Amino acid sequence: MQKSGHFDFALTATWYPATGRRLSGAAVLGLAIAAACAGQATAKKTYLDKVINGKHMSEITARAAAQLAEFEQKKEPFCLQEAADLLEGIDLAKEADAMKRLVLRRETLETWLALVALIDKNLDPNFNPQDLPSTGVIPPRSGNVAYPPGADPKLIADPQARQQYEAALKKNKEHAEQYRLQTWLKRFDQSFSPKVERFVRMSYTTVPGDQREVSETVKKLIKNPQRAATLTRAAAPKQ
Amino acid sequence: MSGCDSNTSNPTGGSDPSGSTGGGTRNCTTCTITSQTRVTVPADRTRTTIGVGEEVYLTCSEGGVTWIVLGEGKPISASGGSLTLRAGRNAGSVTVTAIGPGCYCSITFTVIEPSGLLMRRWPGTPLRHKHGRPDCGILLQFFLKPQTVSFINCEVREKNSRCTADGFYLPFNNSTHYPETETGSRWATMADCIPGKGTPANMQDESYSGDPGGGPPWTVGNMTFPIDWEYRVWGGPACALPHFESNSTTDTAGTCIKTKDGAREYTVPSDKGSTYEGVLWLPGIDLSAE
Repeated sequence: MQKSGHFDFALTATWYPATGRRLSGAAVLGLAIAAACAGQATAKKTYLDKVINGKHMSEITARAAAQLAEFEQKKEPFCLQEAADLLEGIDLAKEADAMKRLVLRRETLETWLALVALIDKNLDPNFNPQDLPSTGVIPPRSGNVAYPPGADPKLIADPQARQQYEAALKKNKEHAEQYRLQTWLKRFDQSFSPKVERFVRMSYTTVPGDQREVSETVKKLIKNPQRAATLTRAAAPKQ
Repeated sequence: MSGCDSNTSNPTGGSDPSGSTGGGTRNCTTCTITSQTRVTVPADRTRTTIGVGEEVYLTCSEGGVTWIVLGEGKPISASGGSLTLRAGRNAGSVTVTAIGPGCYCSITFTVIEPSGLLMRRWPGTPLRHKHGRPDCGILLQFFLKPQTVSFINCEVREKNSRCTADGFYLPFNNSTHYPETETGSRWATMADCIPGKGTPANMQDESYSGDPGGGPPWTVGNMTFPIDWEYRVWGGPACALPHFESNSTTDTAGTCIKTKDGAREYTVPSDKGSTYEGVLWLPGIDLSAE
């Protein structure tokens, strides 16, 4: 399991030399490029990155965020399940300190939203569950010889047939991995979405401060308009 | 429905063993736990025998209870009178107890592992065969047994192996089932249980004899791959499934017989050529058809 780390968002502010000497044109240009690159790198950090890789006060949300970071890195769907299990285990009522409870609630909301944002980001709208992958690939027939499925490419003498087979093996492998990822993402989407909505509904009141926290966090993390609307509605005062 | 005050053998219940009265809340004398599997197939969603990794929703007739889970399972979320239980990765039993103010009730589940596998020709698919040649291939569907529970939260894969071949198939002797560098297939997810068969893998298995060329006339030949599949639960450690073999034989007439687990098909050289190559999506095929 990964440990969560603190990301320094003030990176660019410390990079200027304090020598007081006049710099050459090339050095100035170099510094300008370095500063611009650093600025770009900082600008690219989204709120989702901050939630996933940033510092958490709560140990549980930090562990859940670490699972999300691991998912981003490895695309291993069970990291999302681990994160959801951790978040589901959070009981706000058990936190006696009111201030800590508010922080825990915000961090739990952010981590839940980061989780569903990652699902949205990785779900393939064109995924076809009927397009099943195969265990192996049958090498193309070369002359009168046809190897059984999965034969090592080195056995195929004809370079064109071997190349064709290697490409088919690679494609099938990628297809199998993608199929697996999409299957779990689809299931997790169906399973987690109502849980996130329930968390919002049960943990936030209709007072303006609560409403603002939900709507602002949704705005910062959720790109899917349908999901954003559902989540905002979950927190809204009941008519 | 199951519960502590019902006549079923699993659930038990009675007074709160802790003697707690729940301070200010209404005391209960009995309670009942009802259970519903998350998956809708098998149809009996109140069953108390569940597959490894399966999830079950539990509801207690008394709200605001404390849930205790002991054995091969863990609580995923608990809220008032509801609990989501996830069966563990190993066979065993798991008992869930709800403790209310003055009463308690329990329900016990038996958790089972896959007992075996089943391989069947994919319904409606042609055999693979080249006209005039002694070759034969089957497109197979893989199932985890038994069919009485769901293994939808498992994944399966086929391990690499090396064949022994003689006669007609001698040129293939010692060749591998996957490229040398591979340990086997990718992990495949599972789909909804199919009554009468089991839990199918979201993966097609192409089992083909191959054709080393030569002939006619043909010589008798035999080629056998040892086949080992593995399953894992929620991404946990790999567990072995029963070993079996995939076999190809030919005779002097060029009759090719292909078997893999319970699937068995044959072709003769004069059969019309056919292939399922590239047919990864099989539209219109009823996966539940025999």
